Amino acid sequence: MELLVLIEIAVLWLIIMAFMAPLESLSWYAGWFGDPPDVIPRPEDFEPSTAEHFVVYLTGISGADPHNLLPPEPEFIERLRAALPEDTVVIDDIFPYSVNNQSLTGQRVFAWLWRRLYKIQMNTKHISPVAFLINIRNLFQVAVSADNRYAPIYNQSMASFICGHLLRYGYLPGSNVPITFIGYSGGGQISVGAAPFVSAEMKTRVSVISLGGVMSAAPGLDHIERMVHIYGTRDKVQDLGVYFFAGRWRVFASSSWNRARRSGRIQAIGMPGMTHTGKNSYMDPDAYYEKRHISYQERTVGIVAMLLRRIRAAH
Amino acid sequence: MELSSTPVTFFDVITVMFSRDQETIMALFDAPNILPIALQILFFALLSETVGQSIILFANRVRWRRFSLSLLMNTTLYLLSVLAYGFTLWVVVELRYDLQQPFRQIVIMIGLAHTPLLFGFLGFMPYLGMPIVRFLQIYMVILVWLGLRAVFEIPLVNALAAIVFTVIFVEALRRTIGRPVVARISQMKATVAGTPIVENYRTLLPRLPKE
Repeated sequence: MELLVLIEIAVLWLIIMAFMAPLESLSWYAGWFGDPPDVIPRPEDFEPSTAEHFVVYLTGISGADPHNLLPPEPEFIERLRAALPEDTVVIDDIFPYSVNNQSLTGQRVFAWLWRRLYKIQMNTKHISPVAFLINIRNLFQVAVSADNRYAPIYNQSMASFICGHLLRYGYLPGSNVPITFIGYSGGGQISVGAAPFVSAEMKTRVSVISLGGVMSAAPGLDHIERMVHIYGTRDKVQDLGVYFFAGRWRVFASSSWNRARRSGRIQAIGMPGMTHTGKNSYMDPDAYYEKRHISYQERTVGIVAMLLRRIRAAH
Repeated sequence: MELSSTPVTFFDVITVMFSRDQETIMALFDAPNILPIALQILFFALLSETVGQSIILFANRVRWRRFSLSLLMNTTLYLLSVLAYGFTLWVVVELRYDLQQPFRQIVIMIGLAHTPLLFGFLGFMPYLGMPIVRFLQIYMVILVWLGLRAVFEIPLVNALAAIVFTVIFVEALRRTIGRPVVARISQMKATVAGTPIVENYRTLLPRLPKE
């Protein structure tokens, strides 16, 4: 009986969370918290960068604070930076699950709750059931980005903030310097949603590397230069995108996903044995391919760096 | 539950409607207070559906102070339009069959048939919201169809024909001599919202750049 009550409470809580999910972006768009900017302001001390490639990293749904990513993400990003040419800028301080780039631990009513949960997750190697609330909250934002009604608002708003960051890092619009998104988990959906708007605003072609991305057949796929989907053969989470988003089913041949797949703009790379998160995941520095004597993290960094070099060369 | 002689509550009626037991549902029509309860269900169902579709108000950038008022205004206008449909349906069926059923019966039937749409607010949920609300709307139309057959005791095909004719007739009216009324309704919505309301909200949203 008690279990039944707990299940009922959990279902009710999920419905409330789902119901509240679009509110943040819609109220922001409606101007309830001040008018959203129509033009992305260029920083006053803007100085064009000499970088030849800009990489935007969007974290997965377990993220709550882009300035304090969960391990082993910081190590992964540092390794990636080291593997890339010096004139590549890697931007990793964007929170992709809020249209105003406000981290969960920032100026929010429930920031105290998210901070506690995030602290628990920070100190746990495995996924904590309590901290999983962050994942669910962010998962609903992924659903907002994938919903045809809300997607234009959410994705364009995200794109505005990403463009703002690119300008801060010295990206000169119209310079045709390539921009590549790396979207981990739910960050994959946000990447394919925001990329076309970023491409139009910055006047350059944009590519996406999905790292176990859970993605819909977003219309934005028609506007992306190319997308490479890296998936672990033991990653069941990225499979959710395949099952859950009807546009990815082969039967809907005219969906943007299937069109991009047929035209060769979507490629997939399988990573043997890798899971989505935690032990044996894409970023796990302690799991090894014994024959090759490299860690899963090194392998993933190697593949991503190779793809980034190719994208840059082909641009 | 003996429903015919005693007053029923809002929640009694909802429970009976989801029981899908036709005999008990028909017994509701004899409850002394069923008309106000059916109207309450209709109002709350339409309010719930309007909340589920409130992307229209957000896309039109209705300010939060006017948001609740707009929801109430839209629901009231929606309620009046559903009652107008009901009245037309009643006239159509009476003209065709001359069954001498009071208009009250069709109002109760339509009110009760809207019970599933009490969950219309779920339409606001991302991704799954639209399929859920479409399912609830189809469920409601089927209940109206079955209700018409049961209340007026006419064959299913004839009940369907009456509904289809009513919809076509009211839509034709709306697009011809009803235009001034439609314009007045838009004006009222705009007054309450503080901005003209574009119903086809997608035209207001950011668009993907051309390839």
